[in-house]
Amino acid sequence: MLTVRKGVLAMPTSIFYPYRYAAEALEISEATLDVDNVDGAGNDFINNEHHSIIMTSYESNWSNLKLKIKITDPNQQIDGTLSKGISKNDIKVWLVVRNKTTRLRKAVQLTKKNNGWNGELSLLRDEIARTTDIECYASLSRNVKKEEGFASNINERLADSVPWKLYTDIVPAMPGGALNSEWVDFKESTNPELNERKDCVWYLDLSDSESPCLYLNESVPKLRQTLEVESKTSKPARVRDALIHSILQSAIIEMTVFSLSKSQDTELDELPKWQKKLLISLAKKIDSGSEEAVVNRWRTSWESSTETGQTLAEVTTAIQRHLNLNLSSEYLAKSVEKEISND
Amino acid sequence: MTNTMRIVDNVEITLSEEFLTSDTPSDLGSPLYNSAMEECFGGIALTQFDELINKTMNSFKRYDASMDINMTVDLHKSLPLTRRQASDMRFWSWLGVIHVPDFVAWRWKPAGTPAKRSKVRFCGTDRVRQTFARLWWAAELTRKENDYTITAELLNHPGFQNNYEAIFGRAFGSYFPAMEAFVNIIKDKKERFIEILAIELGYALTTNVLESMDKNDLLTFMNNLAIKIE
Repeated sequence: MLTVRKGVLAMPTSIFYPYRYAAEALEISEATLDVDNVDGAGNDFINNEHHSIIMTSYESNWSNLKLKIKITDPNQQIDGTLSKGISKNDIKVWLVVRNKTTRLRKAVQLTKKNNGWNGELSLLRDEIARTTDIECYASLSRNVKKEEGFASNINERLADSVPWKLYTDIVPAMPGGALNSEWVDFKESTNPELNERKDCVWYLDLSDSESPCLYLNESVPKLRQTLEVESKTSKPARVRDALIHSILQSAIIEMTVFSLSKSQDTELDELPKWQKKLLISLAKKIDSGSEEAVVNRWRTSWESSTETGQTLAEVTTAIQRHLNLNLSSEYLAKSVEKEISND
Repeated sequence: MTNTMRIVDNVEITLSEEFLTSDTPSDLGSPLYNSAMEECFGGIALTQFDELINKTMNSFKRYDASMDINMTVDLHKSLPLTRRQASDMRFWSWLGVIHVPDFVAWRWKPAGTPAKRSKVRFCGTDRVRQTFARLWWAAELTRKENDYTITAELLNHPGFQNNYEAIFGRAFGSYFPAMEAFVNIIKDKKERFIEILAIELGYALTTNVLESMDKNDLLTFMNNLAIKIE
């Protein structure tokens, strides 16, 4: 039997194992986080439900973290990956951390204890940035007799855990950094605008005239992990881009309409900087006159309610061009070509 | 004396055609206002770095790629950054666009039609291609504290220049024991072999727990792979 990893959103990479593999079989059943040698000082930042540790709101002068964990195999799935005569004594379990930004890769071997494996790993602030991936793996501790459909080589992976994310820095989630964005758990938020939309993915706050803010709903499972994939060309990167574009298309339309709604009595130069920049950059994507002329035409049309259909069509065309939607759609389609043809 | 600076958040760096084609872009004046820059990392002095840049420009002909080999270790030593600091591309962008753009123009020959230098050599988010970040990270990922033996061996390999991205663009390039083993395996091999080994290694290691493997594990693993390739 060939076991493969499934689910684009659930898995950061698609790896096809030519042997039995227990994806997400390992569970981080207990986790504590020490900050600067203070026991459990970071425990409140551990979110078991979302498999994340969000330290972005912690005071910024901490210098080291120590993660202590207990791993279990609650459904005994590893047993199904072991060939005849091989027991759990022939496997090792690892806690692995990877930081793509600082290119850190390190692991500690966990110790078998009672019904699981325990261990701890220290991280210095100087060696990580932005997002750190935390994952557990079980691997073969020695070469074993080859048997069809089973791993047999030392260090080959047998099972893994759901990947966890440690967030230590606020990063601009959107391309270009032009739009401020913030992650908030809408369910827990005391902001009524967000709490009323706990079933939504995003909310655009235009109340600050100087700077709009796009709130992203942290309570949507896997959303943050998906949007913060750092790869440029992998399948998850294509999914990320498609998701970002689906959010941005609507958000940019909302911002554009908001900006066009300002009375013509306000000169273009008097509009808040972000509104002027937005309108001009969209107008650049329309081949019918200078950018300012296009923006003025849009504003006139909006105010007089004439040809608003054509204006909206031009705006949505400009947005698609601005986001290079054709290209990202092509890349997305190519990345799932195989799945589509097998469907 | 100049200290480490960086370009502030949300500043869009627009480099003109003239900037990208000029052999001395600093003559064109700064493409950014002073307010678009800020001191960073507590202000590390760049005296040693500046001396290295001057020395390199005096010792090597324009566009001579071998200057990379000569300056990588010294460049790393002259910029005592943590990895966290070095991952801040705003700093590398400041170095390339504001501090020493003439060196970037010295190193890279304009290409394409019309001929111009790539913006990413000056700034951007691509540390594999930015002029200084690429060298700093090559040293950082191949040193063992103050021992740069592996760095030197890799730099002096004839296939290094053309395989930079093939090596450091892959996961194993971030793991020192893997780089140690890799350099050991490619010692007497040709450029094409290095490229194929890097690609195959990238695939082969995906079913292993790379970080659990020591140098000897990786030597065995890579040797077996090398035999298959040959």
